[in-house]
Amino acid sequence: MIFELIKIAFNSLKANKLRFFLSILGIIIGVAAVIAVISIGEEATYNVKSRVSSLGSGLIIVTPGFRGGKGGKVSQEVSNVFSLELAEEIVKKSPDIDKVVPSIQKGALLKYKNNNFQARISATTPDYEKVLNCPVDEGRFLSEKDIEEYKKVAVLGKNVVTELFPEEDPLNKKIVLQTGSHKLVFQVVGVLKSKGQMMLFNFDDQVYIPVSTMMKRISGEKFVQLYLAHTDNPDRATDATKQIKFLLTRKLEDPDLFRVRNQQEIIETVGRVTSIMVLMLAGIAGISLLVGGIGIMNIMLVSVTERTREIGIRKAIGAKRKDILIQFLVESLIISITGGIIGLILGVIISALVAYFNHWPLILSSFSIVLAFIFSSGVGLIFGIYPAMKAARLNPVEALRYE
Amino acid sequence: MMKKILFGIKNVKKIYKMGEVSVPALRGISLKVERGEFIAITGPSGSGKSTLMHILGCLDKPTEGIFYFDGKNILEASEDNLAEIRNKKIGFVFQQFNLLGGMNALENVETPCIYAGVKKDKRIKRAKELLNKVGLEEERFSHHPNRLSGGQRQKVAIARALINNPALLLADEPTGSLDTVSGDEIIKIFQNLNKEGKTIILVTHESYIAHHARRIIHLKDGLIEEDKINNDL
Repeated sequence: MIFELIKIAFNSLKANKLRFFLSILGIIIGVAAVIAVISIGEEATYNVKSRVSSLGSGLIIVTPGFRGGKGGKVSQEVSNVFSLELAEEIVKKSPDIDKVVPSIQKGALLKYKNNNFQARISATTPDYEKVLNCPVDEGRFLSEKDIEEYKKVAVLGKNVVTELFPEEDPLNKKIVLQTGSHKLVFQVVGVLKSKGQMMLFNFDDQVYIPVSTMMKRISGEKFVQLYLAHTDNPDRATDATKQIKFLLTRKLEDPDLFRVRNQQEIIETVGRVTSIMVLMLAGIAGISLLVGGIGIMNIMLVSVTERTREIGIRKAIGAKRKDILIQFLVESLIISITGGIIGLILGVIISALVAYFNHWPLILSSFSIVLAFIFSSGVGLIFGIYPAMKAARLNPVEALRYE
Repeated sequence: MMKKILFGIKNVKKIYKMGEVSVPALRGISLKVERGEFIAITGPSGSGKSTLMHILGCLDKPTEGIFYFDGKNILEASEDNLAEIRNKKIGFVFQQFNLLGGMNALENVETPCIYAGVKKDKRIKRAKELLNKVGLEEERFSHHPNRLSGGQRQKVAIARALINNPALLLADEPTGSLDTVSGDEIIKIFQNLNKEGKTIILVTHESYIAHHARRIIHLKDGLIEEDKINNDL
């Protein structure tokens, strides 16, 4: 019996193919959007997390805090606490910290012959290579000797090389580095392997120079901008973070002067932020699914009105209310489930394409697929019930008279 | 043992409410019908023929009165009970044929069996038998109604009405949309069915058609004006 009613529903949908297509379109778009958004969101999150992880495990970032803007003073970043001596003290006193790399970031214009490139200077120490996991491709990284002797040597990121030395080998070439009123000549001693973008920080756009050279010859300051600390046992990252906090608090007497974050916390923060974004977008996509459902209801109401006479005939020859109800409910379910399946396929294709062009891994969450499917059939059921009940309740005499 | 009386109505009234105004369509009709009768209900338009047919066909309930069909109190029956009675005990033949356009002749005949829950092979067999009986050519079984002539459509409708072997065949102006030749053919089918023992009620305003029945009931203004045995046969 139910099988016969399903067949009847199929036949009446077959009779009006264009309308069927238009009504499944809303569901297709909704389901595809939900699946694509969730899947792309997870791919992006995975991508960001793996990039953060690629910085090497056990990284702890110590940045300046903000002084509160009290009275007429504007809140500003603290700039005079991170000295080179303090860095060495942290390594000495924290049992779980084996390296602390100071870093100063500055924009600079690089010139070589007719080529120039707006790069970022990262003034740092030799340990940077290990702490941030940036292996050298050619030549060498900064050495202790470079630091001690304030040498004007530079290690270049891959993009810098392509811009400045499109056809030449950069090693041992002299480049001009211009920042503010300073104009210095540096010798290229090494090139790093490509590492790519990490949020706003592009490793390949960097020029690495000795931190001592920066402080003595360019900035003239005694302080660096931030520390990159490292623990060789990533399981102890939380303890190491606490040790740094403790030490700095004791030393600086003000916990607001610095911020300490370890890699795990950054990954978690990134994960939280992206999942909120994904949820928001999925919510918007969900609304389109709802609109699709309203579309189904609209079509079904028109269909019930158009087929009033058919309903009258069916009732006259013995169809009960529930027979008519099931027939129309099955129709709206067929619309929404067909739309759901096509939308599912479309959504998977879209996320696969996005993953492919971004070189991300394709992540399909079975949760989003099941959710979209249940939601789309739910939409068919909910928005189909009213029209179906309307059909089932028609008075047979009036329905038969309907022209 | 089957009772001789198929149904009886007593003082049945049907009043339509149109806003503030009440329009009585039937103003007190009493009638007894035995199994095997062939009755024509006639009367001018507005006399209540159609309303009476809807009530006898259990498509609509009377506003007041008594109505027992095959031993069942119709005034107290639920809508699903009525649907079941229409399905199993009453066969309808309409002036406009009222076939379902999306199906072929055979499927149209089968449909009441679907609602009765009859198995597929059984209902196809019965549908074919009935289509043969009403004289539809075998090659037209798979035709959709829009490819059939009026007479052929009415034959399909009669076969559909008969599929659940109903106790009563109700025909509302069955020849109204047909030419004389096909009309006569349809009347002939009704006469043969009656000879086999089927109870038939024919609603018509053509006295020529009514005279094929053995009992003629004439309605006027919602009341029975005349209920006579047709002696002309």
